[in-house]
Amino acid sequence: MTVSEQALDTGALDGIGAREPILKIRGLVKEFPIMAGVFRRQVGAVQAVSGVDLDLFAHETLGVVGESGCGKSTLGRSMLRLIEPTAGSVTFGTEDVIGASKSRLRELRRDLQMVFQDPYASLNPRLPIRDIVGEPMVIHGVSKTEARERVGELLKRVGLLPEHGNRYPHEFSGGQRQRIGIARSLALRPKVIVLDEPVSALDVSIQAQVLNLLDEIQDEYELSFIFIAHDLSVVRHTSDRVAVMYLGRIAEVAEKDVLYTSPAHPYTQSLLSAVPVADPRRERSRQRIILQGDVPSPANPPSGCRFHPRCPVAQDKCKTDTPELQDIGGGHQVSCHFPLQTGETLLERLNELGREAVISSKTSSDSSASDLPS
Amino acid sequence: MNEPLLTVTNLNVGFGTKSGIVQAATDINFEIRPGEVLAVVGESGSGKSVTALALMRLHPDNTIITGDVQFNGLDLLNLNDRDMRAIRGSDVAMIFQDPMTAMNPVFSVGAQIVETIRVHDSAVSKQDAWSRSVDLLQLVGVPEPKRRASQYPHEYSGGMRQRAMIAMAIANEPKLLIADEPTTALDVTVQAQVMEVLHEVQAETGSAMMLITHDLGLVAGSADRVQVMYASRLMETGTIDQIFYESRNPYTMALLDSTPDVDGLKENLEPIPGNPPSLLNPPSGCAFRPRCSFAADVCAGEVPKRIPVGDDHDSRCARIDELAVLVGETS
Repeated sequence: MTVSEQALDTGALDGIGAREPILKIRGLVKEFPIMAGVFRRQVGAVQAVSGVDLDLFAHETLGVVGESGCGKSTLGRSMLRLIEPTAGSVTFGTEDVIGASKSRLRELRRDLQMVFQDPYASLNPRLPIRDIVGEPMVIHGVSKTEARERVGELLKRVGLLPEHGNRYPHEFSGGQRQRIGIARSLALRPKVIVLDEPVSALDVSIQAQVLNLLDEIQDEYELSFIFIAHDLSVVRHTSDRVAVMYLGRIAEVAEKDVLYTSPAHPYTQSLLSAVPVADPRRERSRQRIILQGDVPSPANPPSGCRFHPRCPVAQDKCKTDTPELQDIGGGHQVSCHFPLQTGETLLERLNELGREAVISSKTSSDSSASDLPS
Repeated sequence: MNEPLLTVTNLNVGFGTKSGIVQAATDINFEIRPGEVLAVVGESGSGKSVTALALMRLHPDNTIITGDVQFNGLDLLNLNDRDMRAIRGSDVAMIFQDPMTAMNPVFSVGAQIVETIRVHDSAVSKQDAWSRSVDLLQLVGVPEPKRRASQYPHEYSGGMRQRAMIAMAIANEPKLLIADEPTTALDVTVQAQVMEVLHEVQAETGSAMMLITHDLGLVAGSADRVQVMYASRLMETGTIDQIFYESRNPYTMALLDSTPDVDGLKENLEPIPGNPPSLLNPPSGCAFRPRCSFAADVCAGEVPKRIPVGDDHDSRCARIDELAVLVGETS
């Protein structure tokens, strides 16, 4: 089956055309058991990722955004089998990653690497940097002298000095540690790197350094990135395409500019309107749709569309029918029964439905304040 | 202009450590006026939280504090412990980043608000205080406040806990709210809810707010005035528009240039090279000098003073007079 045939089958990939994905994820599910009682019997399961389809193309950055608990990190880890997925398929080139034997998986890890969020927890504190960065090479049979030489080059490439190889992780700042993590991920010349919140532990001035570094090495090493983050501004700066996750499912996928300028999913639009911008004038003129409530527990997800209890424009169908991810043109996919049209705002939809939502804008906030109890 | 509510003069905060004294806040001078929102921004370790904790005298034992803090006619640094306790939670209240550690896990949320009320006014009966705490929970947007008041903090979600903490903080209608990274632990949609509640509450009670944050977006949406801190010192102070549109300080400018924009108005991010200095062993002269693209020999000399550059606007930069020209050349 070719990609386009399969695309017709799933209805998910129309319009992407002939481009062959380097990494193809279909129906990926990861469940965690819920144990209870003295005998630790399984009483249920949390579906952290429930049926995700995604494509990563060569030399692109696919951003994966969502709020905490939406399953974005679990998705990243299970697609590389750092944790074993419950169901679904992951294909790297022509090779089945999920079905690969242990020894074959080790081979595949040369090509599929990961950078973690916490630069303090992901580096062994008892090893010098030289060994941390060189370890993947030694495991994969590179001679020690060659490994040492390449460690020096890698450290230089990520903006550190070769002499730093003799030091230990605690001697470095957060940003430098993240550079070390990146050097380690580059050691085996991978093709795909999954970056799980690579800059969220860093201050903004350092964050920009690391983002620019990632940009450079992507061109130089011809890498494809899956960039997992909660920060929509950062994702806009780094990604070519963006997938928005909500409670274990993909809500929307689109080219970056399409997603940010004409989001079709009500969740994407309200998420974008909630992001503060570092520009007082734009903040003052901005109308912000305030979503009610919190993200529900994935152990007990809502029926139908998982977003419906918080969706200001939900209709009856949304409570009962689960929307499929469907293409609405040009590779823009959305899982919503009533997607917003290009240029249509959530406010317009609300008016059309004759509903009110909590809207915050600097002009209205004073009048809407309720009375303080005395 | 109104009399300031809080006036901080020459405040210095240091920590004694094995390797010497870490100067965490140096030469801090500022005031907060009634009803205004003053944002304090800076990266981790810049001294913004330390300053707030020192004002409230919530610092650890190894801290050395000098200077003068006047709040509403009271000399905060020289009050006895009893009077200081009377002020905390009544006239000045704090909201912390992590409500789980700021609340007591073994008392219900309602009981903790009752305690906050009755500690400061024992004339209020338990019943009255309870019904007031239910009203307060309602005010901050906790659904079913009657039932929720008898629940414990662990039964609340992160956003709800932060609302409960706001309810507790405003229970005694403080004149000053100090909010230290109040939404950093929250998701962006919940952050929007909590900031909305804070604004409503603040507009309603007329209290002033000191908002400590690293998020320039949050500042742009909420503050009247801004103070930018770097390596324990105030670098620039001004109204929100002065700081964002007419900044006269290289650090502020660099910080703005390195902040990504969700509307995609920035083509490239300009990182600030290098790392923040160690406060144990800061560089001579201006602490930002090693990372500053405008640094010159003069910057290595004395620590630059804060120079007024407009109404309510000042900046700490040795090359301030040349800065406008220098910025024009590089852009």
